[in-house]
Amino acid sequence: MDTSRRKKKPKILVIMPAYNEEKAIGKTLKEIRAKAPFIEDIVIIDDGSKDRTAEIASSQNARVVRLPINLGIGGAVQTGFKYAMLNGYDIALQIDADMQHDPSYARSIIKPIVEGKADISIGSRYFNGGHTEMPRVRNIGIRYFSWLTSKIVGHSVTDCSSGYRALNSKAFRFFSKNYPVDFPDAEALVIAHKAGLRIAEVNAPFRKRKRGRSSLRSLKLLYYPLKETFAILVLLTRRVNRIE
Amino acid sequence: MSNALTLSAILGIVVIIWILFLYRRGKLRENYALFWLLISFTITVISTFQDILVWANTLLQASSTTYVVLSSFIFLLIVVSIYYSVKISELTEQNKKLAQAMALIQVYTKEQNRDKEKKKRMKRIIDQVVQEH
Repeated sequence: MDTSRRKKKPKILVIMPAYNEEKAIGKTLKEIRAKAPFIEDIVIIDDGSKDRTAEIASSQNARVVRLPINLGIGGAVQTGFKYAMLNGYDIALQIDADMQHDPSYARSIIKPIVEGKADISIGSRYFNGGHTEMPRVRNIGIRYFSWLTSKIVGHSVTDCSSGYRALNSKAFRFFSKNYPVDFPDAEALVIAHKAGLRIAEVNAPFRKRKRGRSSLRSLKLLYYPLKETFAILVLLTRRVNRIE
Repeated sequence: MSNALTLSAILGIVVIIWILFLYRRGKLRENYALFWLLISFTITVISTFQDILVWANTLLQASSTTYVVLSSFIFLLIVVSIYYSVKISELTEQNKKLAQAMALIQVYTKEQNRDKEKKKRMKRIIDQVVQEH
């Protein structure tokens, strides 16, 4: 076989935002290394944790970026994109630290990116009619935003709030400059669509949360739909430079 | 001059003194100090010179000059609140960028230091091997 014609192996980075995840982070890292050995590096974005998240991650040879203050999920993920951009990675795979995302699906999430079919690939828990165990209010919220996002991007997006997603360098370079701060998932897809990035979805059932609590609780559960709807509608009127 | 207007004129002067005090102690930046001085000076002037209020009263067809003063204050407070919301948003964004930059620089420096350590260790090993031969 002609080696010069063989495709270069993409350099893949896992971006894992974490806040007070000392109980789960070690197991998550071990599981990623075991189930997704094709991943080159893992970077933990420690979002100002008060526990031993960073120490545990460092002891397991993960790269750790420690934010001096808590920026929230949007700011943490964006830091990961900046890290990926500065260190010349080809693909960034975003995974939660709480073990809800099964690394066995990493390869299938990355596949549309490697094949050049999409710039952003989302691991969806609802793909092909999949179901999840979560509070009904939250389920309704995700369905509503997925419906809204689908209408805007012009094709079906079943799980716009999934934080299990892969991006090529074009997408994470763009997001390193433009990324929403609060509850960014749906809004980020709308910005990406406006910038001309292609979005794909693949099946990736989530596991039940074993530890920690969702960032969407109590009053935030009321604030989130209002803020997100407002942000998305305003975003439609905003000019976003298209990526060539 | 009604009691309400006298009170607002006094309050205006108190705020002017307070702002000057804060500025002198370095607790307020000059742009904010000037902004508040302008507002408190305006409050003092319109509360002292009733002719301005009578003119505004006629213009707005309000039933009392006190209403004019009150609604002006409310309007002013809304403008000030919006101004500070914009400022806070700007500062939050700057804060986020600084925190991200700081965290990334820390990692970079750490990795550089690790590389230097590696090089030093390698040099030591090479020196040792050279000495042994």
